[in-house]
Amino acid sequence: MFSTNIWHWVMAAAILSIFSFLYRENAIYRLAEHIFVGAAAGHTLGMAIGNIHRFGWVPLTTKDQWTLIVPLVLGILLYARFIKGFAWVSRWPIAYLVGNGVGLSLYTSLQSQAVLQARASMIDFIVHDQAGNFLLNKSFDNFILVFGVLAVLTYFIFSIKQSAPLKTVSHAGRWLMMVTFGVSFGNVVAGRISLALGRLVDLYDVWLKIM
Amino acid sequence: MRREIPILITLIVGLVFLLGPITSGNIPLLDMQFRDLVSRHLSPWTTIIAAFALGLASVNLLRIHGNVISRQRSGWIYSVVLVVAMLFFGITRTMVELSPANRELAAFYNNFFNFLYNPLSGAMFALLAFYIASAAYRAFRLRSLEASVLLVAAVIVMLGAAPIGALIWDYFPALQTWLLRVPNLAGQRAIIIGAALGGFATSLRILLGLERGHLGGE
Amino acid sequence: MNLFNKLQRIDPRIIYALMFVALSFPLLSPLGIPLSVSSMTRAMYERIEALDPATDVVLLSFGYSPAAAADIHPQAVAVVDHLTKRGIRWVGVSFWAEGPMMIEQITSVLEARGGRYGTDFANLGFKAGAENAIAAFANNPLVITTDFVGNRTAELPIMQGITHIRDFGYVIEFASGDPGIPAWIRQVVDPMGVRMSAGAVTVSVPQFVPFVQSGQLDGLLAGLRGAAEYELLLQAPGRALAMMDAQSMGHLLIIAFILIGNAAYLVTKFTKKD
Repeated sequence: MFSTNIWHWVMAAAILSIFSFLYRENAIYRLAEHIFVGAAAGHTLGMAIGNIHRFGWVPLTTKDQWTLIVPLVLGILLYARFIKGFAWVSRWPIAYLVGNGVGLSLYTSLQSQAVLQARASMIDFIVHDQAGNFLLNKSFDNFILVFGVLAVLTYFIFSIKQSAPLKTVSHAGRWLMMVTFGVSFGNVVAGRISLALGRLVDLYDVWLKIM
Repeated sequence: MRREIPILITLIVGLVFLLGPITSGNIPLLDMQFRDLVSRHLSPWTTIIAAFALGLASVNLLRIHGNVISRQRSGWIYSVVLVVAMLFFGITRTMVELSPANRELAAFYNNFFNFLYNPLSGAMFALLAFYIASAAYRAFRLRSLEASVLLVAAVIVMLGAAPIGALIWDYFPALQTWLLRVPNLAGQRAIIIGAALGGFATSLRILLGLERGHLGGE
Repeated sequence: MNLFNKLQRIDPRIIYALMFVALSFPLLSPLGIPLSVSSMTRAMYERIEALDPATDVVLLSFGYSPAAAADIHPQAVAVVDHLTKRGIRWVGVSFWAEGPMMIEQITSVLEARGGRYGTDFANLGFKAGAENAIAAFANNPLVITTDFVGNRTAELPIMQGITHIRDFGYVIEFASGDPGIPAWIRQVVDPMGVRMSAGAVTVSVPQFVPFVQSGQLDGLLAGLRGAAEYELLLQAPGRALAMMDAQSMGHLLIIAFILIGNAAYLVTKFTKKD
């Protein structure tokens, strides 16, 4: 029982100080919360500096890649937002990043998430096995799949006034979305419980050694 | 020109990245393909600018909490703790990044990351499990038929996903799998397609300068 | 009726305490509830089983931070365990700032057991730029010039012959957010014809199932349960499997809360009408 490793005690203190919030907000929790935020920001800052050094400064100074001065300057300009009167300069690197993101995903998201997903919905309603027997289960599933996609897409048509039969299909889409969100919610519950279990295992197995 | 130049930057950069994977043949005057311009120049530029952007949040935090400390506002002690933690982690991590072969320093940092930051971060999000239990009890109400459908689907998924579901009723896992692979798939796919089409429209608007929200106010 | 009113206004700390007990009890006294393996988990397992240890190097992308690690890190541990048992080499990379630290948690254990860094596995560290960084890396993995511990990537024995992502035998992404699975599918799977499986946090699983059905993903590990299923397939019970009983109790308790809460609400509602 009880680990003799000081770091395991630090870990246990960190977990218990956050969990103390479940009883009520207290100074220990606030301390831990601020350490967490500071640590997260510090780690990210350190990794960012590492990337600037590794992918910017080193190639600039050792491989004569002088064009890298441009992104280094643009990156520094991002911080102009903190200087009164010069905040407008920070729009340039932001515009670059936004242009990058838009250009990169404009074609690819249409291809991967619209075209290929739509193609995957083009499946048979009437399914037979290799012996030629009609498969009711698979056919039913495929029908739900295809009709479901169309019904939910129909629900999101806002540019025309929906009247029956479009409205009926749209309503069916709404019901299907309730099932979809219910599945998502079930998974959210499972996911949150997993997060708590991880910390409990740290306490019981690593710190207390009673698992 | 304060808005026009950024819009032009967005258009040019966006077009280069867009044309990179879908064109061949050289760009006039530059004597290289769009994909080469992207891979040799613009892509490395993005890494560097994105790295600067990562530090933005940290620097802003320093600015805000530095302000709280200097004016000794309520809770300034906690701001001191935050700034100290940020500086410790930031400086140590930077030193490790600048001399990655120094394994003793890396091990020193790893201890703080693995046994302080890691459990703090994990515990913060572990609280959600308790909140969701409280929410399940106090807020999830069967106020309508649609809410009931949602809740029934959620309960089936919870029972099917947990091993105990199979002990309660043999068919819970199969039902959960069916819900995930058929109706959920249909709904999620429609959302994916709709989001992709909406994203395409928004991206075009940004590229053409019709959408300027990312540029902020004057 | 006073009871139902009181039930609706119960102190949340009682709920937290009940949750704590429900999760703790099965951890300390396992129930041994049997677990089945889903087809999505089996698909990833069989994909790795089909790899050739002599020639294939697997790319593992770690797209999560400590916040989600409890749900997804056990997946990475189980998959690395599988790769190690089969003698398959692997390279870790991350496009999240905390990712390399998660890789390091695994590589440090492997090194302590005699694994050879740079030959059996490697940690290429973090590259900023999200989706752009993924695309750049996919086109040329050597764009990351130095690994997480300062070695020149091109000189690592494990990286010999790797000049494009297609040179990796397989790709697996462990993702908890953005950049994540959709970014990999957009930039790598579809444009470059690369085969890939993924591990996702439980919360995100429903939104990635369409990619499995469309064939854009070979397999998908679903959160902690996915990790437990993988440990079962490996016949190497670990942390994830140990948590499954507690997961069951947690789910049962949440369902009980929903039922009791709604019972109290409905009774109060109907008695008020009277």
